Amino acid sequence: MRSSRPGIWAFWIGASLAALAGVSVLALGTGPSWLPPGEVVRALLGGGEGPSAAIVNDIRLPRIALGALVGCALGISGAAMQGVFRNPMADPYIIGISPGAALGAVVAVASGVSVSVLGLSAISLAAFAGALLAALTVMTLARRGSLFPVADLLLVGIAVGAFASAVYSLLALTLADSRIAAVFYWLLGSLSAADWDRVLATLPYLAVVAAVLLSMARQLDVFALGEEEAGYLGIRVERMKLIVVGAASLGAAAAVAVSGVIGFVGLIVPHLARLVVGPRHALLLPVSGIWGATLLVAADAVARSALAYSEIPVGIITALCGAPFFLYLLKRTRKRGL
Amino acid sequence: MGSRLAIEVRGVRIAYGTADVLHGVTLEVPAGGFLAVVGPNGSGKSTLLRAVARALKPRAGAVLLDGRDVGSWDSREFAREVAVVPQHGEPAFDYTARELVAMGRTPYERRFTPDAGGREAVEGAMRRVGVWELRDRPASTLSGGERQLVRLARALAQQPEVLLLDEPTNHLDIRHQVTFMEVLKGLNRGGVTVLMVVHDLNLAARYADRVIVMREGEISAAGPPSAALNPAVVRAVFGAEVEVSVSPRTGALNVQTVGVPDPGAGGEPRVHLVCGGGSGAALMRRLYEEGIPFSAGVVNAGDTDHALARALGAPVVEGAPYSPVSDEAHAANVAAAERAELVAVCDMPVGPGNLRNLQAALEALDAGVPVVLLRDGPHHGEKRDYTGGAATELARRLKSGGARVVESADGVVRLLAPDRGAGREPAARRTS
Repeated sequence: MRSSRPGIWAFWIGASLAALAGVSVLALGTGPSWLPPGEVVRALLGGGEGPSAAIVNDIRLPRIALGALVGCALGISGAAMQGVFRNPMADPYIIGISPGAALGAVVAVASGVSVSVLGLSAISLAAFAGALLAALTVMTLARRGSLFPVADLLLVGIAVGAFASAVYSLLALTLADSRIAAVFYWLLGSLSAADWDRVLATLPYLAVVAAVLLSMARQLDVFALGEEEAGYLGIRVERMKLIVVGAASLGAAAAVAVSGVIGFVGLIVPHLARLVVGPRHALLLPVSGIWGATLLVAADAVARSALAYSEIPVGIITALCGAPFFLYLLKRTRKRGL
Repeated sequence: MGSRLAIEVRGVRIAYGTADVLHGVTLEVPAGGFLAVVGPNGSGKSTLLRAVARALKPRAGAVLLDGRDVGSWDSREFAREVAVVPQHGEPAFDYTARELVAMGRTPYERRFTPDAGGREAVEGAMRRVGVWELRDRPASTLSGGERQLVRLARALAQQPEVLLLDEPTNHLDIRHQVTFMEVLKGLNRGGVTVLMVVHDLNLAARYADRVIVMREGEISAAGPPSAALNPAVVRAVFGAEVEVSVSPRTGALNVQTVGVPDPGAGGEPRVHLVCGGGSGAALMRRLYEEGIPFSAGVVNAGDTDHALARALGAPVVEGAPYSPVSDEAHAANVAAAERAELVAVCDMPVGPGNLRNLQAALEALDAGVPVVLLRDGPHHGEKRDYTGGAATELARRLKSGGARVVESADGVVRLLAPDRGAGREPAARRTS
């Protein structure tokens, strides 16, 4: 039975952060040369010397940090999207963000532009632009006066996504094989290009998105009653939908820009978190963020080390584990009649 | 709770698409009033409520709360004055009862300041409605009635001056319905203005102080319950026959639908009932259900059995009110009894005025018509003898002459149609 004692909040946040820290230390030790946790911690605290410190701090840490940021963005955005769409099957990419990002990425590759801003590659910038463009298009087309009907958002999202997919598939056909590989790798989602520039470029977006969404936690709870009832409780429904969908889209776009399309994290993590900590968004949103980070750091460690000769795109790992787990959850919740 | 707020609806027209659903509705709920809005499905009553709750914008006209157009109220300020209990809607996620009630505090919560008194308001609301014990239960484990009470508690946690309810007692069992309505009435006595859309005319009649009857987007009657819900209005608006009466026990207005029965199954009466004072009602109803034609006599005009036999289309040997059975009526009664296949003597009080009805039964028995004595009432024939023993003597003679005692209306039906009886009661037994 869930309790509403305030201590519960601190407990789950504390335990989740501890788990993230533990998994991160293990992930920092994972790679071509295994480093035991003690050595990793020493290196992090600046005490280590020689190659270990360099491996941990310069090679692996940016990648772990980026994985954590991306996972966190996907987890929080997913929880918020599920809340605002009142549907536990919604995910952060739901309104056409991933096909939009993919289209941006393919356009960048096809045009051969190689500008980079703040250390971000042309692919990242174009993917970010594509994702935001798709989200804006969907929100504009789904708008009816001052209303944003949820069903319209979903349907327009599907249509815009399908259109973007068609365009980037067509473009990809015109690319040389070497370039197709880059696009393909990006579409599967990977953290292999991680560096501090990407971490620093992503951090501000995540901070803003997390702050905005957390400030809407209470409204998201009330939203579960339905839009009309939320309105009866004094919530300005359309404004709130705009803010939440906008912020969650921004978070997903920032994630997809630096990591490609990593599926299932934003779908499963909030779902699982809701089963464990309950539906209250004041706890659900941060827990989803932290668990998303933990999951992606762990999945990336597997992606880096599962095969001796090469890396697996992390999106494949999340989908491989995520899809069956999702089906299990679905069966389980159906049985409980939820 | 400070000043009391009144609702005014002025010439409101609302359109879904191009067709108007409300055609200029005007009404007023004074502060502290209790208005029930009734009407058939599609009459626009829920639309009216949603307009007052500002979920719908009128195409023309205005809804005023405390003299100000509801559209001009700040949404949070409005939610502190007006709470809505909607008809249905399950939360998308499985919050506990207390979490759901606490959502009623939303209009009082500010981002960085705690809602002083919020916890007390939530607990008080839950206790008042009687769901405090359910506070930690997830909504998915609550019954429909409990969930509706939780919804009412949430509205109370808003500490509103005005409550709007949309068919709040649909799907509630009787116990939850009574709890719900008593809480609502108590709030109204405390000064909360209530506007309730409701299907059940009885609830409207019993609890509201004004009733509005809507039809096709217009108000077709308004006033105190006994005036607005008169049978003519109900027939015109709902197309149903009703009987409106005042309960002799509670003084409440009762609106009872009167199914318009097909008068009689037709054909010669197969059973003749000797009854009166309501003693024949159960058997008449049962015979009517089975399509077995019957007659009754002698029943005085004004007797409930008289009215019921007439309503069910059965021939009645009629007597004058408050008079003993006349020779003429007695003769007709005997004739009717002898034409039947069976005479059923119901469990009625017998006095000097109707003693001859037992004699009629005896004459029929002597003429070869089987007689049954129905003993389904709380009293048995002998104990309701107001004739100083004459009735008891007649009953004894009936039994010794071969009349059977039957324990229920169903037993009588079984004698006439052996395959039709429903109860498990032993069939009629011969006594001597």
